[in-house]
Amino acid sequence: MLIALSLFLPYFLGLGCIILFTIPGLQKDSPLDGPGIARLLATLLLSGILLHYTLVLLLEKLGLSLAIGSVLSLAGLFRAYLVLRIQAVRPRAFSWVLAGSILYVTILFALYILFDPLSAWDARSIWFFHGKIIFYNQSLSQSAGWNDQSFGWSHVFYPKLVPVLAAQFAYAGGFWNEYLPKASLLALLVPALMAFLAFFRSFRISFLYVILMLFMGLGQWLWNGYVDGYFALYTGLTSLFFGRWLVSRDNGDLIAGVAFLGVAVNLKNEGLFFALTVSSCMLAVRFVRARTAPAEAGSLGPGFWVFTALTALGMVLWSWKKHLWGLSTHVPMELARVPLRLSEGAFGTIVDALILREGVATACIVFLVALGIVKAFRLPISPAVWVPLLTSLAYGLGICLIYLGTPYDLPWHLGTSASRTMLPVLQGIFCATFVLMQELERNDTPENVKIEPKTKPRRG
Amino acid sequence: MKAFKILCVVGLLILSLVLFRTSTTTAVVLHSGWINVLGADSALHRLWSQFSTPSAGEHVLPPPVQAGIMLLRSNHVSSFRYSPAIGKDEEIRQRLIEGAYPLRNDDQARFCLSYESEPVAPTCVILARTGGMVLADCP
Repeated sequence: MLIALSLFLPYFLGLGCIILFTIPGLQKDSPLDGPGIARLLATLLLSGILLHYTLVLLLEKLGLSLAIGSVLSLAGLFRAYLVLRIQAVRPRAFSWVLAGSILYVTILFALYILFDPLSAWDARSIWFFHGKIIFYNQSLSQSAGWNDQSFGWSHVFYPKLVPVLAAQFAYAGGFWNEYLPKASLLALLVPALMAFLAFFRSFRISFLYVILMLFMGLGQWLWNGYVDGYFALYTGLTSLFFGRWLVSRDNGDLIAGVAFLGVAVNLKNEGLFFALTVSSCMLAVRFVRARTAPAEAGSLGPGFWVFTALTALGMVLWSWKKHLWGLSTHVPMELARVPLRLSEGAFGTIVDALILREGVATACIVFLVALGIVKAFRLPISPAVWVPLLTSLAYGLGICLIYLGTPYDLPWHLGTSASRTMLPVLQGIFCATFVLMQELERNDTPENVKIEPKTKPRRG
Repeated sequence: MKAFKILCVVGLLILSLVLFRTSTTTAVVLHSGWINVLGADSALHRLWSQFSTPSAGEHVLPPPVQAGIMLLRSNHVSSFRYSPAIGKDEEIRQRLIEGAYPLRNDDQARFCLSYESEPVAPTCVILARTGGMVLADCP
């Protein structure tokens, strides 16, 4: 079992390699310095996770998917070796202090992720119950009886990425218990932690902000088995990478953003709404930027679109399976209720619960203070700030609308979910504040203004 | 100017930590968790043996659910139904169905789980009882 656990990183890494080093043009011109390697590793792991999920959806059997996945993974690692052998990768450019800090945070969280048994409501009733069904049936197939009436309360139409990972860990370990399947959460935590290294060349105060606010701030949501914490983490990273791509024009940022978005849409149904929001906000910021700096508009190769299609494949396949199996997606919202709720003064209740009590207003104040400081120093405000901020606000408005149209008792619905549904909103505002903090730090050292590869690839 | 900017960044970090206490609380919880584990004799070994034991961790289930699952397993029942009183208790019902899986809940099943305080139908034969739960055979 220890072998099964320790092999999950190389397995996903190899699967990711088969995608990133096979699709032409994906690794072209991306710097392979310290932050570049961290970003590449995170993208590889996420691509691997998404490919494994797609394999399970296509082949259904856990054992067969793992066997074919292992062959692909080995082929991917070999392919990566061949490709990287002709490039000068300098691990010395990596900040070992930062890498050590990430390892330390992983170990800190691992205690509660791995050794705290599943006890939270949604974790048991939804995510890990679905994992248990997949594990005991050894497959994600209709024969498991997903449309059994007695499972009606379990929202069986929810995305199956975390359940598939949980079942796969249990399959590799050979048994089910209330601890082992939670290793799936660790598999999602590691790429997120690595991704943040992509934003640092050396140890900074903003690095402490990332660890304390973006990770520790999510608290128990990262280990109690709910998916909401990871969804918030992944939405925040998506908007950070998309925002930075608008500035850096480094397609590696865009690819990393797409990989994080690909996982986010397979974590929760809200992922699709987030994808719509973040894409719209990025296009809006890009449009405004293109009007002021038209020369910066760039083009994306076909490889990028193939990669994007691959990351969306899991979500498409699951939607198709739901249709085939007769599982209807229940959206807890009825538009007709919105005017009635507004006339009853529900908007005030929602604002009070979501914006004031969950800290969104406070986070906005901190952001405004940061913005004021940046303005006071007459520093330019990066467009990278606006993507997470606007996405967060637009997503928050959408969530308010869902609460306005909820068919359930509003105070009950707010009381049982507000603290979770506002996590992506808070995370987005924290990410925007983080970009501002980086602006303040970056202007101290002009050499860090532009992220450029320090090594020239050798042409072999 | 440079030092003042750094001070501002430190100020922003402190302001965020003061306003959002969860981050510092979590940091304390995570560290104290490890300190407790490393400080206690063989605690890590105990945690690892829990982690690597099939069906471990079921103690988090409510006691009636644990008792119900024990009855189902010890009597080698593959499908079961529950009494109306259990059906009304959302928590017990959900924990029983997901906790007992792969033993399936089926309204037409022959074996019925109920609370000890509930009357058992005259056509049923009580197979076993424990922890306030009863398993009955209702052909």
